[in-house]
Amino acid sequence: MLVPLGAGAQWRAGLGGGFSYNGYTMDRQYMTDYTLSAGIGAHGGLIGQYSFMDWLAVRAELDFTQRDWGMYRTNVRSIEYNYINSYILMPVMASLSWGGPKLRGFVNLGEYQGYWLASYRYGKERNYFSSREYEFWERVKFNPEKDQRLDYGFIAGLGIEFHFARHWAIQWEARYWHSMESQVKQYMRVKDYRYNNTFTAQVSMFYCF
Amino acid sequence: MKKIYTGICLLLVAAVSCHKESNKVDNYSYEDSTVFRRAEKNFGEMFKIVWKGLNSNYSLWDYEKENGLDWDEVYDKYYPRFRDLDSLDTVADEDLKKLMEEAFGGLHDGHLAIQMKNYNTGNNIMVLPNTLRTKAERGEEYEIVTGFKPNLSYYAGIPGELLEYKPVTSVTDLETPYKWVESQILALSMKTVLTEEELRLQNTYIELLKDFQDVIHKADAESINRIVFKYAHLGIPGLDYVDQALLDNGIYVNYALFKGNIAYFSFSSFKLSAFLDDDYFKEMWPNASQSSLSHIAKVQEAWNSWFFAIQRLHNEGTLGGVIIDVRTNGGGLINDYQYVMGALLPSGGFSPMNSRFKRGTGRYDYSPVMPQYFQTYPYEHVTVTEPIVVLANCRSVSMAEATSISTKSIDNAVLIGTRTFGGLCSLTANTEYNYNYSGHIGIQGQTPVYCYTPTIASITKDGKFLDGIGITPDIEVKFDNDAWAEGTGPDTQLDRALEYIRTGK
Repeated sequence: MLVPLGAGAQWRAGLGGGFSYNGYTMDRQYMTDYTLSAGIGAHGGLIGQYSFMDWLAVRAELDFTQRDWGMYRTNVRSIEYNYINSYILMPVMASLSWGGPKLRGFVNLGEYQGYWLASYRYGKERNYFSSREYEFWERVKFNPEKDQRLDYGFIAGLGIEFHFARHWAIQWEARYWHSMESQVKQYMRVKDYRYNNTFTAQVSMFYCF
Repeated sequence: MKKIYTGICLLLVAAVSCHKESNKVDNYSYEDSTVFRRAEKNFGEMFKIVWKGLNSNYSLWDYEKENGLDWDEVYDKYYPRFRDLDSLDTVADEDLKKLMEEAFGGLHDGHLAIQMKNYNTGNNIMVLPNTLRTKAERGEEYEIVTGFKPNLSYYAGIPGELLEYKPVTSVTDLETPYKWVESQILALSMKTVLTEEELRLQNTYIELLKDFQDVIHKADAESINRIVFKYAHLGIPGLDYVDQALLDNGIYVNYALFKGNIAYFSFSSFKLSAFLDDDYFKEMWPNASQSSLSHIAKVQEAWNSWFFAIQRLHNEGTLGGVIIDVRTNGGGLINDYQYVMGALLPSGGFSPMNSRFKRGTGRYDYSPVMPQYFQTYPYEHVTVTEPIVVLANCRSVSMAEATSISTKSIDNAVLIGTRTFGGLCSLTANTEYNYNYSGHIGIQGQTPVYCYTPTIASITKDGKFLDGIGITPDIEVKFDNDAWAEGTGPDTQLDRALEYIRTGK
């Protein structure tokens, strides 16, 4: 992705946007019909990159990413939950690239820190005692004892870049975010780990200095 | 370059594979030999099942935390003590009960019952945390009202006070034959000389009274029927065969129309559906005996009289008010709401409180808070706009409390009496476990551990939990046991309800 533009070309800044596809992993234990489903959300952010060599750069971002997921019961159709979780993610990556001056492929590898900004859930429930279905859309109030709002993990991305003008480049990238922090704190003696695993696909526009 | 890429990829694979694994959580709902076998002769394992089962199934953990209960601390403190019991030669039931009360007595859910089998004695030991709390907090009141049954005999004796009165005061009606036998013994004892036959008869009657005393408080059809067959040759009036369904489902009911057209209704348990709902009737009276059919007819007549008096008087514009008496009523079927408070409200359901299900294995996995609707009477009927009073006391539990809390959302209703028990969270049968994934632990009588555990948390409309606290009456009136004198004197709480309806204050 780095083109030989001289010393001034070592810096670049960009803006990216796309979507996220998030899966949630947890141990369902004995809840055999409790089924988790991946969710699609928004993803985008600001990008800064500094190139050391033709093939190696360091890249940092400030991203807003929704890590959505859902749950439904295969035996009880009237119970369905969908979570919308908004995160600020700050990845730092090594960007390794190859190819010619116009079209280059690249791999991004690194780690990220994150902060869980807000959570909403919507769906339907069945009140067994009322024999009624209940539709809900609500903000989930964080429980500081249970909810781990800080996150960190590893990322790996693969993409291509097209350098279409002297100072401008566009990238398409698919990236996997592997969370290493359980979204649930270990607040009870029974350990219960639940993780987000997120794919993002984004298009980024860069100005190369 | 290739080596660098390969190295990075290997590092990445190593990193992503290190998600931590959760502890295994068992499903304690069923008789699962792999889960419960370890606990058969092991108090430590029994404690673990209670602790882990409640950790997943209990619906009030955030409320318990607010009240200062740390469930992990309970484990740390009491698991070693239960485990230590296993090293003793024997454990007395009292010692096990005391330790269970100490370990679990801090829990607030009003329905929760925890049972462990003492493998030394073979006895099942049960603790009811909120009963312990209520007994301790309410003291004398709890003892006084424990055996209380509303009794309107005093009012029936006041000329013109009761315009109508239909009590169903006995389920098995052993009182009638008992009194008859007493009168026969008295008659025989008045005689100066008894024939040999009369002497034998007198001795038989005395023996019968002793047998009566043994079974009169038992809800056991077999014991009663043994007496019925044993003494059938005496032709004692009212000493009839009973079936277990009558003992299980029978209730005490009082309908009265007080002066000023105040329609009063009391019932000992929320089992009216067994008498008034066809589906429940078939299920709960599979082979009704003559005694059962007679009892069913009396209860139906009492409820019909109350309901139709309200319809008639409201339409005439002469209904003074309605009193629903749920004092010392332990609750029962949710479906009953339509026959009591729901019979006074419009059709279509009524939501006097909210509820939240326990969903998932984590301690704080809950559903959204949603309105809890109770069914109101679905057929054509009047909506009562006259004053409604619910009478309650510290032994009013569960559905009696759902009825009590309804007064807080009905403009023309008030709650009179004393603070209720504090057991509002509902529960389903064990067979519904896989629907809710919360509630019962084990199977009563089969597994060495059994917990009668609610499925939901009930929450007031303004967001409060009332389990372990109870519902505070709008007008607090203590029950004067001395004045009441076993129903021969005035009922201070009922008097206040009548005064409220008659005066409006």
